[in-house]
Amino acid sequence: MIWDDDDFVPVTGGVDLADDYVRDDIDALRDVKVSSDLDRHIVQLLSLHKKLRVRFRNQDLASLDDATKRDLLTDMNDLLGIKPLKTSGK
Amino acid sequence: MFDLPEDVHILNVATNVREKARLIRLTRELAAKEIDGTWWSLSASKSIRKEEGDNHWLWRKIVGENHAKLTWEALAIQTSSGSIEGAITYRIDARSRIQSGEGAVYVDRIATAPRNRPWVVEPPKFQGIGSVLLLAAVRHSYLLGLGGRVWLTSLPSERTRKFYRDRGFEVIFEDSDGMIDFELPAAAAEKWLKKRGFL
Repeated sequence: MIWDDDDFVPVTGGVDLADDYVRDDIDALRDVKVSSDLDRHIVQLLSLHKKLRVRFRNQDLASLDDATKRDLLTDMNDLLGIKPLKTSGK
Repeated sequence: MFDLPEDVHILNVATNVREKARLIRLTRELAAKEIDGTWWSLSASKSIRKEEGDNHWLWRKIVGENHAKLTWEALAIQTSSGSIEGAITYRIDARSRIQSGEGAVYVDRIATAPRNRPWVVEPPKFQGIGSVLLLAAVRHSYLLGLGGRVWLTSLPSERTRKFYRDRGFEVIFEDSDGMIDFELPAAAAEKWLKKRGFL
């Protein structure tokens, strides 16, 4: 196992993100309520990627079961080229 | 997706053994009890505490004000005894500073418990906290289709520069006070994820 990253990490932060560096194309995300982590992830993806909104915009998450939502997520990941991450790294 | 809680390992410095801990979502209640209520109850001198940039942060307030936003995340590392050993907050709606037109994660805050900082307490209790948290933000960025891009503003020091540079972060801005903006580009993020066995 490789554990070469286990040294110092400085305390960082406390600086608010300037408006210039905030994306202005995902306003809808700031007002949405979700009922599970899976819904949260799907809604985040839909909001962050315009091409997903075009393809999947008619999806009503409330009407889908979890298995169907996971299939939907797989389709979204394929479209964006996101490979599944292994659950535990080295 | 980013499934939490997740098992992680951190080094117990006293025993030199890696202990299992959990990466969790940080709630306001946990922040109040296990960060604000305990982190600064240590024997380090007042002058050392005063020098720490986060000694005035109220994590319960930060989490309380932001937890409902889907653009904002707060994660923490919790040991089997329930203590919180480090925390990170970030937003997922930032613009990349390096790659025009692309999104990125912006790290608001990252901190290990003061008892884990060797310049505050010698010996520290645990090591590896910050790397696990920072890598979690990179993993989340990747899973959100943001390429693993992460940027943050850091305090100026050669030690800080080295830490981020060694992980592929690039300096994108340095102000007159020496505060530095670093961004991890997508290629460097992927390299780090592969190195740590996630890809």
